[in-house]
Amino acid sequence: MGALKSTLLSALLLIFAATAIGMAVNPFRGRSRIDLYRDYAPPKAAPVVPGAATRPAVPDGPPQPATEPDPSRGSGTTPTAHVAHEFQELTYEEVVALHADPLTQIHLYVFLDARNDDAYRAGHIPGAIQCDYWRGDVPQVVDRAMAAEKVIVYCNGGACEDSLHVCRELLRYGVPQGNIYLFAGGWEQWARRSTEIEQVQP
Amino acid sequence: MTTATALPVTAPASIRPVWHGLTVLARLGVGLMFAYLSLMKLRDPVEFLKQIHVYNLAPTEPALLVNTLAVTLPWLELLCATAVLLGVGRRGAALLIAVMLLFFTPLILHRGLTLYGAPGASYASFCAVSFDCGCGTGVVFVCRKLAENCALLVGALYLIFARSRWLALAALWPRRTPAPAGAQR
Repeated sequence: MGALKSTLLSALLLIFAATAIGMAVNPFRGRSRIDLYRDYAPPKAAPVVPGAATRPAVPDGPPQPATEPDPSRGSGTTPTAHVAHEFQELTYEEVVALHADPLTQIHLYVFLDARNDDAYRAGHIPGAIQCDYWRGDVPQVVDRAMAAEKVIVYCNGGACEDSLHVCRELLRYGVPQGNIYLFAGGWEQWARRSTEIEQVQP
Repeated sequence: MTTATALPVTAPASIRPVWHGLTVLARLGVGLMFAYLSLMKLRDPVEFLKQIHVYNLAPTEPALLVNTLAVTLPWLELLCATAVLLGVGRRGAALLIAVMLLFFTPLILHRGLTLYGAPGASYASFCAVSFDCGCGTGVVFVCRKLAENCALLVGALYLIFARSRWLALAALWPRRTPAPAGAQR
């Protein structure tokens, strides 16, 4: 009985110590800090209104003007083979064309990289802004996304869903659905086929 | 009446060093593995939280609970690993490790089975299924991870009941209660 008691006591002590250390250290973790009160659950799919850009209610933001669908949307309304979604998809060729477009230079076409810090530092599409859903980056890019004509979001490619989370979060903030594009091939495809890669120097 | 100074030994004397060795081996195996896994998670707790959400490793509501879990669990693993390695509070640490393994291993099995049986899945066998289990080691093959967890679980369960205090810090101070018959010193 004594052994059981001391075993349970040491287990409780360990739980208490781990909670205390975790809570004490967490606020100082910088970008690795977890916001205890944030609901990190990925946003659910927005309802798609055929022929119109969806603009869901924004709980905290100002009302946004309705937006017409973009007639120059790429070839892609087809969902990826891996993840079904409600956004327009771009092929690699379309992304290359948009990247080379002068409108990218004046920030009317904005590229968002939804991957984590390590992946972004190692290499990203030149000019792409890092926007990691899990680190709460989305609110920081909303202004630029609202001002842009096209927002191209990508992550690793394949079954990666981080870009989809960013798209849905942008939608929640009022960015017109017709302006949001997914590059489904993502970084895997870009790194394989393009020589234009930007890195963050340490 | 049995006392701490005159202990009857149930196991043959030649076996005792084996139990000592096994206990140290289990402490090293379980402790080092958990220390590694916890440090990988501590390197980026947000990534760990992401895996919890993406792979439904734990209930994700309420948010405060799952966020607290992501903040504290890697530290708990590290403290448990340290306790097991040092041999202080070893049984409590081993109990927690066993509980964690008993909780997460079926989830990994469930995730593997879900991916294997998913429509359009073309895995040659169940063991060919691979995914990031959120364990801190990145993408793993499910059978290998399950075998690893089972081995860790056996080691943790052994450490709960093992009596050897060989090469343990706890051996520096005397037992508070007389050791029962058959205890290894």
